[in-house]
Amino acid sequence: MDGRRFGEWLLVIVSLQVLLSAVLKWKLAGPICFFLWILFLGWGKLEVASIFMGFLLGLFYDLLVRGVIGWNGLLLSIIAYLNCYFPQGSLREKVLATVVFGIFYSAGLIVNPEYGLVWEGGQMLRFSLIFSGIGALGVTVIFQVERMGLWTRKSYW
Amino acid sequence: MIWRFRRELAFLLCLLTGLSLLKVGWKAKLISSKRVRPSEIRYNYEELFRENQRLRRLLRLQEKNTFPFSFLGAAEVIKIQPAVWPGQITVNKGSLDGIRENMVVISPEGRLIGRVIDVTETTATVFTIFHPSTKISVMLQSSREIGILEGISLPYLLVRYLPRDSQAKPGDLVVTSGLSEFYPKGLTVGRVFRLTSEKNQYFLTAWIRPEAGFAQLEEVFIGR
Repeated sequence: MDGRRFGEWLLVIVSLQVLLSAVLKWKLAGPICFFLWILFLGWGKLEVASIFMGFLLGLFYDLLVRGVIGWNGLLLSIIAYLNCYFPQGSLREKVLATVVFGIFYSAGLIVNPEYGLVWEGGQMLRFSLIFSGIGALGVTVIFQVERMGLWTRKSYW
Repeated sequence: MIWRFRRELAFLLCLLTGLSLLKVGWKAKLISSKRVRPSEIRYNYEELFRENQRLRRLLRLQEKNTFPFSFLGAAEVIKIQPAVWPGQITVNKGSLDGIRENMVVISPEGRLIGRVIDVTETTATVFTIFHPSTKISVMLQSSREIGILEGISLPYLLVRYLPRDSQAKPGDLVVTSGLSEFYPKGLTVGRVFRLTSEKNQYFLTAWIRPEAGFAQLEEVFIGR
């Protein structure tokens, strides 16, 4: 992926995430676009870029939803780093990685900036299911589209 | 060599920056969450202003003491049971403030609320006129006919044993007669709402709507 293509993708991903979080205000989706993109960057052997992008996009998401600055940045960079060591060959492994990291990200809900560590099992489970579910679905769709070679055609744009 | 650990280095850099930012971000979030909003300040100011007005009025009334009591103390209602047409209330004054059992409780406007039943050092429990055990001698102010007030028919009170040929009519004021042991004469209880007579009865029953604002009960006077 060259610099221009990377920039284009970044623009698309950020726009989608802004649409989800700021326009539609769908909180249960969380930073799903950023999350999926950093996973795909890692799987595309752009591991260092995925770690940095995880951190920067996480910060952007914190600003977008007015959360604790640094919290999502930290979580997404950890996910991007761990993803480098996760088995990632087949679709099944990618879906598994998405679900595992989705649950890991959802565990961040335990921390509340006002009260410290709080256990809200039901809320966490719901978010975890939705976040991981959308993530797994997204990975499957993108994987299939990629496999069909739709995005590798030069004239697709 | 460095290239080999590029992921670790990148991660370490992000981790340290992230932790530093998190520390700052956390403090900022805590400060913003504890900041009082202007609307809350406005609310608190209004609440304090209203309380101040109420207490000033209460103090003036207590100093003037136009009520038929030698001792008169003001108290704040801290508990109401049940919330509507309460049979029992608790106030924040007790034996240390001179409150004793069987003292009479009235509203700041001088309307009858009830009687002190139980006293601790710092609180007092009051049975209101809505309480089922209420039995107070009252009279109709215009016709001077005497009856017994009972609190068994919410949301109204009943005055039983009025003479069958009573001159009472809806709107008449009902006051304490002074014949009951603890209640002085002339305290306003309520107004007649309607009159009924039951078959084979020699008496009329008056349905009374209490005058005291039980829905806005915040402060009361306790007297003897």
